[in-house]
Amino acid sequence: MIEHPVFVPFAGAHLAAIVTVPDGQPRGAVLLLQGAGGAPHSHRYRLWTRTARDLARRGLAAVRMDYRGIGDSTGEYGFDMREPPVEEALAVARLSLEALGVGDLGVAGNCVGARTALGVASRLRACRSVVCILPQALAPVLQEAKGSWAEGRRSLARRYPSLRRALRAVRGLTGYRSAAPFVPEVGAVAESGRLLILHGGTAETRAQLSAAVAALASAQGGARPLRNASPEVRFLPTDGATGLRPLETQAAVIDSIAGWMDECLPGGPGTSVRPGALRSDRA
Amino acid sequence: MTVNTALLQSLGSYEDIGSGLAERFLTPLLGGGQSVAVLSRPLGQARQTGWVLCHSFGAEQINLQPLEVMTARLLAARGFAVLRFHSQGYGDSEWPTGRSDTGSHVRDAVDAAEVLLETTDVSGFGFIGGRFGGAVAALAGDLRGARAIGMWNPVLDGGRYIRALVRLSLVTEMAGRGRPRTTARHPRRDLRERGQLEIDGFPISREVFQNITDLDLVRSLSRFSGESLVAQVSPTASIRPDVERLIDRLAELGGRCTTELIPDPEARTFGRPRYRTSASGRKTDTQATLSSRLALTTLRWCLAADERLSSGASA
Repeated sequence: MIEHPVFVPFAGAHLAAIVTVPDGQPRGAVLLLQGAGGAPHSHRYRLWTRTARDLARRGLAAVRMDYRGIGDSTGEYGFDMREPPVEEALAVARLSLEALGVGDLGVAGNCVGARTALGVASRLRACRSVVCILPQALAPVLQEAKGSWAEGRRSLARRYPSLRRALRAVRGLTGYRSAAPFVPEVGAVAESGRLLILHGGTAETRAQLSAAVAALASAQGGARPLRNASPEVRFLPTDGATGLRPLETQAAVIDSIAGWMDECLPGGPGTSVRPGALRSDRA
Repeated sequence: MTVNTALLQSLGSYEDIGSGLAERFLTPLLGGGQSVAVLSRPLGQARQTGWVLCHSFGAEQINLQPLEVMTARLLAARGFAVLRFHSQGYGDSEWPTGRSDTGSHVRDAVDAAEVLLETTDVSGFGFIGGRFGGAVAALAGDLRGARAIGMWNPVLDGGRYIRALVRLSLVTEMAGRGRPRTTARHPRRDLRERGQLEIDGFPISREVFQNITDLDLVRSLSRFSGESLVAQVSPTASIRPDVERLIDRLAELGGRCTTELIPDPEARTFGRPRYRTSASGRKTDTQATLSSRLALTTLRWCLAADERLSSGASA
């Protein structure tokens, strides 16, 4: 295994990334995308460094990157939760595929990185598989309720954590939960590729996720008519309020990404039938 | 198709003509293992003194990185070569997490200084760091006979520092769940019975905990007599008594110490997570202003120290 640190030119800035290349020709590559909380390309707790090295042992290359203005990347920091940095991730993904000489990509993203991963998957023909890691909130993959009341509620909840906890408690007592559907990218990726969602969360968000999966399956014409038509959901060993901090959660995330990509990308144990590409490359 | 290694290697550096600096990734051996470093250097004439930036411990390594990157680029734009690196157990380094202690941090900082000397034309160097990285900078400077050491809120008492990290880790968990996880409720018992403690997502062994606890920076400094900067970021406008003891010790050893007090309302969060989601949904860096002030203060000191060192006014 060898690691190549690179600066990828992007819109006047330079995006820092580490390309991990396994011994021998890689059979595919995995792009690793963290959230917007300032974690650099190694991710918190070195989650991506450890994942990349696990993938290399399975013959897969991996790319971990810094978004603009974060870590070793240059440029201005500016992150809007509703505008994930898909173009930045695409720039790094395309250059990495070219340099690695591979045609198959998997993308794993955490938090806003999950939304970014879905954006990459729906734009890049080479993308075969996606893992969304959502230890706490499901917001990156669920559609936001529209309207000024919903906006105001979200704004207040962001500003006052105690109010957010109180609302959560009330929802737990009354059993009320909004049945938000997935963002459209989830359906598109699930329909034509392989999608794994790793979630910690609470009983409430787990039920929300199950409801969204059922709604997607129903919209696709029945409960899981095809093996890969709906996302596969796995729950993390500890609940979501602790994020990725617990060591057992970190280990579960690394094992899940590496195992899933090993199975989904060509040449792995689960790819006797080569999975179809996702949507066509629109770039 | 094969891996295009030449293409990957060609992307290992960039030049920013507008800012007057260039950066290059290095993959040096530090502490006996592979790691990744970034060398920032000026595009024009380089000064004689180079700098090694020493990162902090545990989660603080990530939280203080924006300040370190900003400082490296500011110094490079003004003529200094600056090396920042991942100590073993952090970021892209080879060794696993959980074994890093004071000794490994210092060893890797000293190795990084050798890398700086080998890859640039500097004739001497100094170390700079924040929090635990400040202590590492001082210890490496003392050990290696550096020209200068710059410290931002250096950790002086390792025991107090690691106990504060444990408390903060518990508070973070309580804020999220209303109670800490069972495994994190009794840190001392965990250390005693399991031989390991988890602090904010990092495994800390009994040996590492004890090693950090044993750190007494003031007593550990034995021979450093160069230029030093002690920058204290504080909510109040007075130098802490323990910081005064450090300043006294540096003077006692024959060095020239510059003290900078930087009052700032965000001082208590220095080294803690810095990005927050605003009401509008945008992420903001709550310590951007503080980082700018610290980086500029450091630049002024580096320029002045380099002038004095170049003119032979100081050893």
